[in-house]
Amino acid sequence: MEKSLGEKFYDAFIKFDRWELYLKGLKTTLIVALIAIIIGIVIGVVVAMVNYVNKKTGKLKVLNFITKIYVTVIRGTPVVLQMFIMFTVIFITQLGDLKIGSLVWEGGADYLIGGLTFGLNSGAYVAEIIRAGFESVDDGQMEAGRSLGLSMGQTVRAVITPQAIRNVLPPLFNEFIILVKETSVLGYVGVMDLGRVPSIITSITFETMPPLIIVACMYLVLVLILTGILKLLEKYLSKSDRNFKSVNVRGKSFISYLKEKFPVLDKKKRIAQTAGAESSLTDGKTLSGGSDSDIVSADSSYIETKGAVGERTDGTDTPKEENAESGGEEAK
Amino acid sequence: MIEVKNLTKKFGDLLVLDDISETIHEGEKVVIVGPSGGGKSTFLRCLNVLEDPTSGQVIFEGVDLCDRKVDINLHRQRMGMVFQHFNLFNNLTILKNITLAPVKIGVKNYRKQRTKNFFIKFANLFRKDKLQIVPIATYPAAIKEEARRRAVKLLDRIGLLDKADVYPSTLSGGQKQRVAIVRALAMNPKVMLFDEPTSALDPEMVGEVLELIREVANEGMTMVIVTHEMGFAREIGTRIFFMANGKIAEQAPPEEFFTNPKTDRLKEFLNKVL
Ligand SMILES: Nc1ncnc2c1ncn2[C@@H]1O[C@H](COP(=O)(O)OP(=O)(O)O)[C@@H](O)[C@H]1O
Ligand SMILES: [Mg+2]
Repeated sequence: MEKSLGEKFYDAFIKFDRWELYLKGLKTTLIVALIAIIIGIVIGVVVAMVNYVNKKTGKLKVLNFITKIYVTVIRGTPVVLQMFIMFTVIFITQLGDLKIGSLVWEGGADYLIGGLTFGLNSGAYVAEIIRAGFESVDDGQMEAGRSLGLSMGQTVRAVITPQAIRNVLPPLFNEFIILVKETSVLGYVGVMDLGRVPSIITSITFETMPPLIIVACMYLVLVLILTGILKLLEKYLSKSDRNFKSVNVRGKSFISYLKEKFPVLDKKKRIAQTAGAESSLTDGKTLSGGSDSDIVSADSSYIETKGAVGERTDGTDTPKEENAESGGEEAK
Repeated sequence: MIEVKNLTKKFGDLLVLDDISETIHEGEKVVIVGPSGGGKSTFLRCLNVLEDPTSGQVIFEGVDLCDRKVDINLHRQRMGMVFQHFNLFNNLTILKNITLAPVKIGVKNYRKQRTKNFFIKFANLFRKDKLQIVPIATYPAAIKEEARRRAVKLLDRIGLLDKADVYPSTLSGGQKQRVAIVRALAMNPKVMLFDEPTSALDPEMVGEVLELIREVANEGMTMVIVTHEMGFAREIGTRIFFMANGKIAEQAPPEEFFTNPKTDRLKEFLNKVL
């Protein structure tokens, strides 16, 4: 008896709570991509810094040469091969068997191989993103800093980096989206990510198509959501053009910008709303009092600028550190 | 004050500055004019070594700035520079544009002194003849406050105090350039270098910038100004250089420079621009 389409999908997704497997795969995929982008950022920053210093001062010749080889090899070979090589290396050296990762974290070996492979791969691309981001900052900014007697390092930290981060964030996020998709090949070396799930389901149900379709849809939705966030990020950064802050618009971080756009995300407001609806006046008042002022500041840029003015004038604090730090948070 | 000796600059094979020797004295207002591509900007940028001379010396307050061993940052603090395109720090408010360098440099010096004192104290544990500790005069909080106070005063002077907390992109060209000038002044420089400070401005904004430069000049500041504003050059300059083909082809006090040019090259140039 041939099963109906509905039954097939039921078998592939609902029966015996098989959807849990998909979610587990999704979790692995996201964590691997996250580890990879973090490793990628670390490597990318180092490579870009070495290149930058070498270009500006002519120092670090050997390191610069090494990074050139690294970038050339990574970009010149397919990531699937890099993955098999990494797998073999980990296999031979028994890094995976030592279960360094799995001691502290279930599925650690998966994260180890996935994160390392794609982190190393991503580093070469992130380096390029960062290089381009720094290069698009006007040379005049450095000259102005140096002409005032600031050192190159001081100028880079306080002036160049905050401006470069703005250019870097969107393509960096895009790299993360690419990673989410690219890591789907990890199934070939036994990593239980989302891309691996269909073959497991098929081995139980003997139906190929339904799990493939389901996983394809999951990837699609995931990528659409992430792309949506990317669009918001871009819009937010372009909005901050007039009132420059590397990752803050008028003192607002991207997160609070998102909260303002999607009030659901704002825990405080949500609590305030429910509290206001359910409980006595006094309780709701204090809570919604806070959220009210949030709304005011969101709607009226005038009041907000005023608030920010007070904040800024009370200390000529090092601005770049704030920016760099919040930038790092954002990137994570 | 600035002594230039056999200054030569090449970009690859292109000879941009050709063996220039010149002395600029304290209080002088040297104005440099000349055809585009003549090397005016390069000359100016060699004075504070933003451009590394190929050979020759730039001696400022007795120190050869071209010497690699010299801490150039220290000496650049005493030479202000104003650029054609303002180059305000886009990521900082107007106030912080002005306070950035004084604060960064002040705090860095403080940290250096503190570290030094720490090592002196440490060494003193083992020494009979104790080394003298240099007491720290100002702490970061005071450095910041002082820088802020100065910046506010400077902004007030140019009537832009209400812009203290906005970002540069919201200012007009004239306002930006005036901020750039006081940003340089905030370092208490001994000499100010201007590279075509009004060339990127809309005509109606040229006046306000020239007025500020005039004021600073009248306070006795030593200045080297590259400009195409001949009227201004004549009014403010104590000496005018005509730069062409990498050389100071002719120089004279303003009256003589404009009324009695000697070389054909300068005559031709003046005919064109006047
Ligand atoms: N960084 C550079 N690299 C190569 N050539 C340069 C550079 N800067 C200036 N030049 C060349 O040096 C010459 C003099 O330039 P510049 O000093 O800017 O002249 P001016 O300011 O009098 O117009 C020009 O021919 C210019 O093309
Ligand atoms: Mg020029």
